Amino acid sequence: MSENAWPFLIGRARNAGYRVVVVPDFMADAASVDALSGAARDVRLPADAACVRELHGLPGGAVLVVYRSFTPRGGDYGLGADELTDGFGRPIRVTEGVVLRRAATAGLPPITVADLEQARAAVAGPYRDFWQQERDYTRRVSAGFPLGAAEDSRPRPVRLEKAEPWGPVQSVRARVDAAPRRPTRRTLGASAVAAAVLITALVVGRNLITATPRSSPPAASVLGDFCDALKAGLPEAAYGFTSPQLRDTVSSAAFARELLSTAPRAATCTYAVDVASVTAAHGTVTVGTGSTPPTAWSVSLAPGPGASWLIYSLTQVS
Amino acid sequence: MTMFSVLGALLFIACTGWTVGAMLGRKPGSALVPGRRPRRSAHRGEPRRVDVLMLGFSGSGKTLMLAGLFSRFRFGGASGITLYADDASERDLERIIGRIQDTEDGFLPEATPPGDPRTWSFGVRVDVAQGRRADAFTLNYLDYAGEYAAALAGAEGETNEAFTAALRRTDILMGVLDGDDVRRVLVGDARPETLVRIERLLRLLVRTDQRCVHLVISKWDTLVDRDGRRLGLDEVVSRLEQASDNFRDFRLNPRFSTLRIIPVSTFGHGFAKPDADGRMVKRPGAPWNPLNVDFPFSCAVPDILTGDVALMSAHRSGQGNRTTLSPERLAKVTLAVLDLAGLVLKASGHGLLVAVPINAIVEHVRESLPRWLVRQPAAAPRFDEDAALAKVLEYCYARTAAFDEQWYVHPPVRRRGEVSDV
Repeated sequence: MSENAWPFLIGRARNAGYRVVVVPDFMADAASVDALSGAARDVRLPADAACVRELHGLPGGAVLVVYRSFTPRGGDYGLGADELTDGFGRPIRVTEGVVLRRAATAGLPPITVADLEQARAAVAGPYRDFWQQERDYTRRVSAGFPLGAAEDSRPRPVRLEKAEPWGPVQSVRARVDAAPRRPTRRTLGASAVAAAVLITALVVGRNLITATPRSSPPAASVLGDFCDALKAGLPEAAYGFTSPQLRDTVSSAAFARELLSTAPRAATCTYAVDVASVTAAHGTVTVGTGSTPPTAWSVSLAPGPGASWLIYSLTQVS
Repeated sequence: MTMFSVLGALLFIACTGWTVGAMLGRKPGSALVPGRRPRRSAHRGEPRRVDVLMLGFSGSGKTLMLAGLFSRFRFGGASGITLYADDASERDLERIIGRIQDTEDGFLPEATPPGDPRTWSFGVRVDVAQGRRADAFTLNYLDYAGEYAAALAGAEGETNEAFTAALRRTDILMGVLDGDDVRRVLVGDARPETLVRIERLLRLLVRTDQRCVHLVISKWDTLVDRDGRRLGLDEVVSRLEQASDNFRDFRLNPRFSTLRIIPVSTFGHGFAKPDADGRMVKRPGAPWNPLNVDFPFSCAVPDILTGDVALMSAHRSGQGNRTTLSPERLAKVTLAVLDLAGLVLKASGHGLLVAVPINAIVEHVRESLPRWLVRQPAAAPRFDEDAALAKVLEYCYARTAAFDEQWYVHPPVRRRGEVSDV
C-alpha cells in the first residue's frame, strides 16, 4: 500500500499578501500553519529537484515537507498568459509541494514529477479562488492522495535536496522553561561531587537502563533542537540543552558570545551524532552565521538528570 | 560493581576537572569562555554587534532600502566607512543594485516571500591609519516577509516566532510607513483600510520596548500633492495629525525619548514616476541618488548610547552618577563607547558608578571624541577597533546633527552645549 501525500501551496494574490493558501487537513491548526509558512521558505532549485525538510514539534507529530518555489505565469493556474505580479508590479513567488506524515528517520520517499503535478492539480483551483477573492478568501484544506498513483508509463523521479530539520521556536522555549534551573553559586567541588554521585548511579543502574526502553528524546533530537534555537536567534534556549556542570562553568552570555559571535542568529546549523552507548554520545555541530566561515564544535552528550540528553562539553574544532 | 562505580566516579571527576581547566585557561580553539572576567576588560576584543530591524508591511520598501543602504557604503567616501558582506550576500545585493540603476530594466525586487527571516550581516570597516583597516562593529539587518509584521498587527495571515523574537531583541527599530499610503491619505485618495494600516504599524511600535524608535516614510519622492508639488516634512506631519488623532498621540508619546521622522527614498527624486496604474516607472537615463537611505546605520550607535543612558537614568539611585543596572544590561557598543570616552564604570554590589553624572554622558562622549580622533593615528594596532568605532561615531553624530537641523525630530533637538535631562 503506497504512502499518502497532502498538497499545500503558499502564495499571494495581487492585493492580498503571502499566506498559506492550501494546507493539509491534519495541519489546519494555527501552530502548524505558522510552521509550514516559516519552514517552507523560498528555494531556487533546478526543475527536476525539490527541497525536503523535516518539521518537528508540531501538534500532530513530525512531518516531512517536499516543496519547490517558482515564479508562476497565469497559465500555470488558469489565470491568463501573463506573468503574475502583485499590486506593486513585483513578480510573485509561489511555493507548493506535499506533506508526508513521517519523520526523516524513516527515510525519504520516492517522489515523482507526476506526484508533484498531481499536487498542483489539487491546489490550482483554490489558488485561482484566492486570486479572485483576495482578502475574502478562506484557507482550504487538502486531502491526502497516494504517491505513485498517477498514470505515468515512465515515472521521472524528483531529486530531493535535504534541508536542515525545522522546529518551532515555541517548542524550544517550552523545553527551556522545563529545564532544570541553574543552581546559584554552586562550587566546582559540589558540582563534581554531584556529578560523581550521578555517574555512580548510572553505572550501578546500567543494566536496568539498558533493559528499559528510553522514552526520552534521542541525542540527535537534542542537537536538532539546539540548532533550531541557534537559528531562531535564541542562544539562551540553546544554553538550556547544556548540562548543569557546563552551565556552572560558562555563563549564558559567554555561551551566546561564542556560539553567535557575529550575528544574532545562525544562518546554518548542521549536526552529526554518534551514540556510543546508552550513557555517551559524541557529535559535531557546525554553526554558520553567513558573514564568516562556519565554526565546527565537537560535542559530548550524556543523559541528563531529567528526561533528556544534555550537552556536557562543547569544544571548538581548530 | 562497587569498584566499577568508584572508578566511574573518579573518571568523571577527572574529566570534569579537565574540561573546566581547559575552559578557564581559554586556550585557542579550546572551548567556551567563562563569564567571570573583570567587567572593564570584558568588552575588549569581543564582537560588537548592532541589530537593525525595519518594521514595515509588504511593499513598504524594506528590501529596496537595504540595497540602498549597502550601495551608500560600497565605496567608502571621505569617511572611509565601508560595508562588507559575505560573497553570496555581496553577489545578491550587487545584482539588485545593478538592476535598480539600469533605467531600461523595469525591475523591482520580488516581495520577500514567507519563511524564517534572513539576516544580512555587514562588517562596518574603516580605514584607520597607515593603511590599517578595522571593523567598528557588525551591522545586522533583518529581512523578512512584511506579512509577518501585518499579522502581528492584527491582519489576516500567519505569524512567525523567529520574527517576533527578533523584534523583541533588536537594538534599533525603525517603523516604515509606506509613502504611497501616506500620500493617499493626504490627498484624500485612501481607502479606509489605508489609515488602519498606518495606525496598526504605529501600534506595533508602541508595543515594543525599545526607547529609540524612528519613523521612516518611504517612497518620499512620490509625496506630491494633486498639482505635483512636493510636500515638506512639516506639512506631511501636520496633515497626518489632522487625518489621524492616533498619529498625533503616537508622536507625542513621552515614551519615545527621541523620535525622528525620516523621509527616505531609495529611488531618489526624479528617478521614477508613477504610471497610470500607480506603478513606478523609471525615467530613461535618470541618475540614481537615494535619499537618506543611510539613516538606519547613521542613527545606530548614537541611538544605542542614548537608549542605554536613558535606561541607566531610569534606574538611577541616589546620586546622579549611580545606577542599579548591571553592565550586562548595556550594549557592548555602549561599553566600548564609554571606554573610548574615558568614562570609567565601577561595578558595585548595587550596580554601577559612572565617572560623570548620567545625564552628562552623551555630552561627555561627544566632547571627548575629537580629542580621541586627534590622538588615534599614533595609536597602536591593538586600538584599531576603537579607532574605527570613533570614526563611525564621529560620522554618525555629524550626519544626525545635519538631519536634525534640516528635518524633523521630536522632541526638538538640543544644540551642542545644552545638557540633556534624559
